[in-house]
Amino acid sequence: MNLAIWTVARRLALSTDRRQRWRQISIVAGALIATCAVLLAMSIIHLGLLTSDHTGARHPVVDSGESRMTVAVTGPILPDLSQFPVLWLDPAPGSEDDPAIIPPGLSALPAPGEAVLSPGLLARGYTAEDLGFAPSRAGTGLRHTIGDAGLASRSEGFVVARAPEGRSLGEHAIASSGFRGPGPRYPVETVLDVPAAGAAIVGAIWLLMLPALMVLTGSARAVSQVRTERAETLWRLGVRRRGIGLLVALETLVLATIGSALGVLLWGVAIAPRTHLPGIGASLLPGALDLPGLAVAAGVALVLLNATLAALWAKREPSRPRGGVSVLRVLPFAACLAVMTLAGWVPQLLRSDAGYDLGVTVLMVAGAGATITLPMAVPPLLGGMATVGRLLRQPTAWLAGRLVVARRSTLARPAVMAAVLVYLAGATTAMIAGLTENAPVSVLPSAQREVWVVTWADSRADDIDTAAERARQAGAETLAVTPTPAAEAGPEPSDGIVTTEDCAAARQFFGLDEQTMTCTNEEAAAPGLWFTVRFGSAENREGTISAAATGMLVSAPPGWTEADTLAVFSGLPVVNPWKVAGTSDFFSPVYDWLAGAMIAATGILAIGLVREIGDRVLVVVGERSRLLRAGLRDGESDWVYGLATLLPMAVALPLGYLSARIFAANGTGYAVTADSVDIVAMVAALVAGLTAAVVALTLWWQRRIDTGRGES
Amino acid sequence: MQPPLTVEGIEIAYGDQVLVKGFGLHVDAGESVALMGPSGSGKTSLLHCLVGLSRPAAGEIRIAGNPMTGVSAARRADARRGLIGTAYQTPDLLAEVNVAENVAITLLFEGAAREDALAAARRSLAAVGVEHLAERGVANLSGGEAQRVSLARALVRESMCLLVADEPTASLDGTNAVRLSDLMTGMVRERGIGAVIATHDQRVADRCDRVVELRDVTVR
Ligand SMILES: Nc1ncnc2c1ncn2[C@@H]1O[C@H](COP(=O)(O)OP(=O)(O)OP(=O)(O)O)[C@@H](O)[C@H]1O
Ligand SMILES: [Mg+2]
Repeated sequence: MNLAIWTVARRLALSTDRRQRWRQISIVAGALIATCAVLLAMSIIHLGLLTSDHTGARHPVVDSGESRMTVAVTGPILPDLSQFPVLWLDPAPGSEDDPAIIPPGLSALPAPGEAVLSPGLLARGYTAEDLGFAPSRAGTGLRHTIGDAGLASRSEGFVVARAPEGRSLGEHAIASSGFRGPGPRYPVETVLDVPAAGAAIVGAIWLLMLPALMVLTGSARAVSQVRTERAETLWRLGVRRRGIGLLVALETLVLATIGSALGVLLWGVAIAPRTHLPGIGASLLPGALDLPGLAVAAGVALVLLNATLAALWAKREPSRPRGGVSVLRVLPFAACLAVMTLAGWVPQLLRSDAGYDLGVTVLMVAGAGATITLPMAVPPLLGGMATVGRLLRQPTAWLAGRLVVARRSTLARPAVMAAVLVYLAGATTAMIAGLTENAPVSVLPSAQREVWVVTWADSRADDIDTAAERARQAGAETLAVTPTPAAEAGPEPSDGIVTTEDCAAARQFFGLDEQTMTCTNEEAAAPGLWFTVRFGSAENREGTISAAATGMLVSAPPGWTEADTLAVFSGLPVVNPWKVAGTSDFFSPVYDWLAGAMIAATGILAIGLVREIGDRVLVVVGERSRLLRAGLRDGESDWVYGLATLLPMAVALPLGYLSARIFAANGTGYAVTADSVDIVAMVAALVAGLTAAVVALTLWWQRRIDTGRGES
Repeated sequence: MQPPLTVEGIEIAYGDQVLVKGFGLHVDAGESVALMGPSGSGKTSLLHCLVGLSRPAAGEIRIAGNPMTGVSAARRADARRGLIGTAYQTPDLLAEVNVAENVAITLLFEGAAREDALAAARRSLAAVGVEHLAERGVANLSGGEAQRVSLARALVRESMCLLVADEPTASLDGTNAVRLSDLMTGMVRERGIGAVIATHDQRVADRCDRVVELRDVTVR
């Protein structure tokens, strides 16, 4: 019997009957997409773990007892690279040759004043000299760059620099025992161009795996008249329910295995060996996307299991209309929305820094949870559609409402796919908007000058003069910054005092026009400029260049980059430039990944949506004649089926929109999102419009075929 | 008054295969005509032409004087709904709505007030003897009950003048088949409309006023 069922299942799966074609294409394509997406998600998780591993290893261990060195971190910003960390090291006397203080990716400590650059900096044409260092040959990577063990990616910016001869890293430097052993570690990272473990796991599961498995679940339920007939015949012949279940499972398994095999092949050729992903700027470490064979097998098993269970579950769903769907099925979704809302309040509730990370995690997990629970919530809510249809006092709406209520599980599916599409598009859009809106760097816009404030550690009396002279030779102007005396400190924060000759000189130095920079007799001010700008004579200004100075403003013509500024301060320890005015070079490399995830998630779901509508059309084709025989006209039956497909959207799309808004609103506190009402609403409207258009088009097309047949 | 149905010189062909040629038929008010013929002789095809679902290759069809040939699909659809009642081997009831709503459905779609349409449906159900089923769902009706509901739906419209039925008794047992035929021919006589009933069942044919064999064409 089992062999017989296997034979029937295989024949059925590979049947050449045209009515089985849609199901074959659906499952094979669904399994192919799902396998690729699941394996890609696992690859990205692998990348995330690797990233966290490598960055963790380059974070120095904070140690108060056995101190082998001091460390400091600065974060310069370059136009083509955004912000990157410079890790400054200063070995304690006697520890210079201790292997424990050699950072990963280096074979030895650089000599004093030397630095090792990441291959990403080198690839963009920067040398150690460009950034104000002497080159070191201590890197284990290509052309003496930092080796892979010390990198998150081949494209990131990262510099390991040793304090110049005779200089310390200053009083703010951190004591460290090196890069090995236990203990808390001092964070080095600024912005990475690859996701770390947490973001990779949440992002890959939420935006790749879940949508793909959702689409696969729909595919496995694809309608096939042939299969239904075959199962019914077997049932009449006396095959037990278990046997028919086995038939369905095997038939699905055969088709899904074909798709999965193609998926593994595609992943193996197009993803695993790559160090670049389409649309993403980062160049990954070799092997970052590769997976062990066991992991691949687990991914494939997940896909096949999902397909088979979905097919079995679909078979259990009665095809005949039935009564109520429990309202309880709304609860998990409601709970996810509630938790998302609560997530926004976690830091206030816990009153600690740990609350921040916990809050973001809770928000993300609840956000992913809403993706899974939304589909369950829609069918029970469709119960009200009959009332809506009746209230419309319109026969088309009345009958469509009845159809929706009677077949809410099946009719909900395209709507659910559209709702999840709206939700994920809205949530990712809010996160992308959050990147720009919550950029950690703000620069006074100026087209005339590029202005930095530069600080450094272990300052010596002639540092300012040397730097000012170098800057002058390179074509830049400078002003010394003295701290604001405590007595003068107003309610506004102040970054210090600088003195210019007069108002015009101040405007010229900062490259700001009369509207932006306003002057009194003694001072100039501009919104967003936290320096106190005073006017004084040249002697006065000479006087301020003294040991009292804590930093320096550098004003350069357009075209200067932070590298040029760093070079001016070459030979000083922990040089930390911060742009005050000019053009902002900061950007978040996470943008690429989020945009990529959004395109992947919406693309996968759009395929799912079209497929579900395809399913609907097949069912409608079968049912249309039912309405026509009952006496309805072509146009009327089109309207009934069109409405029956769109009415559930009226329930589901607002749910998707609501979820996206709740996610967006509660992520703003963590700077994870921007609450962009317009964009989320626009996405929702777009999806709704698109779906309506697809439904209209398919019905029109179907009718043309029907008419053509009738007139033959 | 125009006769319910006149057919002249009908030709039905699928590609090169000519199925029916030079077929004519005249059905008077109150008259039921049984359409017989071996399987594949073109009964269903002919009925589809009568109700305007397809067009014959040649010939002329009029329902109560209204032409069904040489007019637009929309005109044929209007005639189909206004003048013709249809019943098929499978009753084709909509499972989503109850019995009375099934019967009233075309009236509802024409914009009749809900109460009026449902009252008409009840009258029609009463006429075929199943008024008690009006509020029931259709899922659990017996075959005979479902056929009666289907017939009530075909007859619900006051303006209809031709009943077209394609093997309406094929899924019923002998007793029920006879009962339904009696019911149909009785209603046809009572309302003064015409009927064309395609059937393989001699007992059904016996209850009609006339039998037309599709093989011997040009019967009049
Ligand atoms: N759309 C079509 N295209 C081509 N051939 C068709 C089409 N519809 C019917 N036929 C053919 O025309 C012939 C007559 O079919 P029809 O259904 O009219 O026969 P019938 O007399 O109703 O038979 P039965 O008693 O078995 O119901 C058959 O051979 C059938 O295969
Ligand atoms: Mg037939």
